Amino acid sequence: MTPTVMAAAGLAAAAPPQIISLPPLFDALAITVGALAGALYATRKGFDFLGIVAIAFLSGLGGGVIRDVVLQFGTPAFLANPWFLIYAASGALIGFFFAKKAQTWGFAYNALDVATMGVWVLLGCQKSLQLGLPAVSVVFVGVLASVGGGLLMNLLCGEVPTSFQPGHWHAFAAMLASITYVTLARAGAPPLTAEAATLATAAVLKWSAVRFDIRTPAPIDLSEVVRERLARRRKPVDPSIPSG
Amino acid sequence: MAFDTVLPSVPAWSAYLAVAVGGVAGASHAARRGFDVIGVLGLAAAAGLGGLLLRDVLLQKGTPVVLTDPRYLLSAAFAALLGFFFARLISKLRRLLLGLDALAMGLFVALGASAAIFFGLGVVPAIFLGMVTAIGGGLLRDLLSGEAPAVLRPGIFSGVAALIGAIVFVGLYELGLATFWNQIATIATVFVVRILALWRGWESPTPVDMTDRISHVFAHARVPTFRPHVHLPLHRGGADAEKSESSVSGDDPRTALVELGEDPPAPIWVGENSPAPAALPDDGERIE
Repeated sequence: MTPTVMAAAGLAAAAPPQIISLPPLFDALAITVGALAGALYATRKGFDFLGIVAIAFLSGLGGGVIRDVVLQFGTPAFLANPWFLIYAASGALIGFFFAKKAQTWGFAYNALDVATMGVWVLLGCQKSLQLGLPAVSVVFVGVLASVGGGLLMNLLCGEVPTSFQPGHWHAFAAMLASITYVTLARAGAPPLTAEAATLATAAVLKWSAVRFDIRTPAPIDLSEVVRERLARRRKPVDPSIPSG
Repeated sequence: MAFDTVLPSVPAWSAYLAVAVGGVAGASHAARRGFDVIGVLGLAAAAGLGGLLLRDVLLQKGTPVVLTDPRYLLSAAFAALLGFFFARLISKLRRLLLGLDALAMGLFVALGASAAIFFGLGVVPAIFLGMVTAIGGGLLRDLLSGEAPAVLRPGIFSGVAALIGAIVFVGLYELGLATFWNQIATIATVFVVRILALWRGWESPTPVDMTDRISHVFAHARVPTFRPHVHLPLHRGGADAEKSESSVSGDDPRTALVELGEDPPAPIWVGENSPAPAALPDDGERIE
């Protein structure tokens, strides 16, 4: 294997690619929308004020916390940057006071939700690329960062995580977007192009999942198929019987 | 991370194999619950890598080894593929998987405890970290599938087996045994304990309530006692009234106090084995 192929497969160390940090507006949008989603979810579950705020913070900031703790990237970003808590609080308050309004403005909320998933993917991927992690790990962390908030939210509500259950492919879109970013960044694409492509991939995939009702595949059982194939091959061929 | 090559001396592929075994268990766990691709991948990763991830996050000594070495994630992904496509075959090979899982658990114990020792932690933290590394995968798997962790429920002996294995590893290390044989001994211990537990039907101990055994101490010492019939009106009356009346007339230390004209102290904790204080008079009767 050539070094580039090995680097792409993540089996050899590669120099961290150039990264242009996203403008702070993206962080603000992503955290606020995530917190709003958590607050609406908690409202639907009939939680009280503290419950709504806690679920909103978890949903808005949880992905970043998991990412920073798993990567051991130092103090989690939401503690290092005081604005992040304010974004999450504003999302929680919007969800607490204007739940009905947020539902009537569903299209805008959905658009923001679709647009911000790529931000989480990008942040996760960029931080792990900075640490010089192999490609597989970068994809893993990208998915973890985008799914983590919802995962924590579900766990705190005592439910099976929705991203694990059959449904619209949220995490799968995040995975494909992460793969897009890693491939482009490792192939030496200009950083702005790679980031735009990732955001676009995540948004298009998530939007099309809702629009065309694409659902994630459930496990397929191939045990019987493989066994039949093997049995057919193993069947002794009698030379006295003419084939055909 | 560097420390994985310092202490352990069983071949490196055995760790990848252990991750794959845990991953297959996680993937079939997800398939049985009707999860989708991401669920299978996520639970395979959680079950296979959870222990090592938890160890490195707890140790805080740099990026976890499961992320710096791509082979770990690739083994988990391979396990997820197996679980995704061959769920029935895996459920048929349950016994084999159980044996392999017992072997993998011993290896995880050794990996966790040796990392703690490498970073200069004490004996007790090393035992704890070995145990956490061994049971962390199953713990995360059950947590992520929305269930109470199986290691914490009675009946499954794996947590105690991991604890015994960790004690063996750290003990033998303190005695100065070479790391390779130490690891082999740990893996063998965990394997034997788990298989024996399965074979003989051992169960991990459930809580033992010692309150009744020590309550007579409080009765004689006349310490102010918590009286459920006063403080907890729920305990008044009930189906056990006659039974408790007959038991009071025996040589119960409490009857002596009744003859002295004092309030009989009721047991602090009314469990299944202790008579309910139902036969005691109502508050109104006692006033006259």
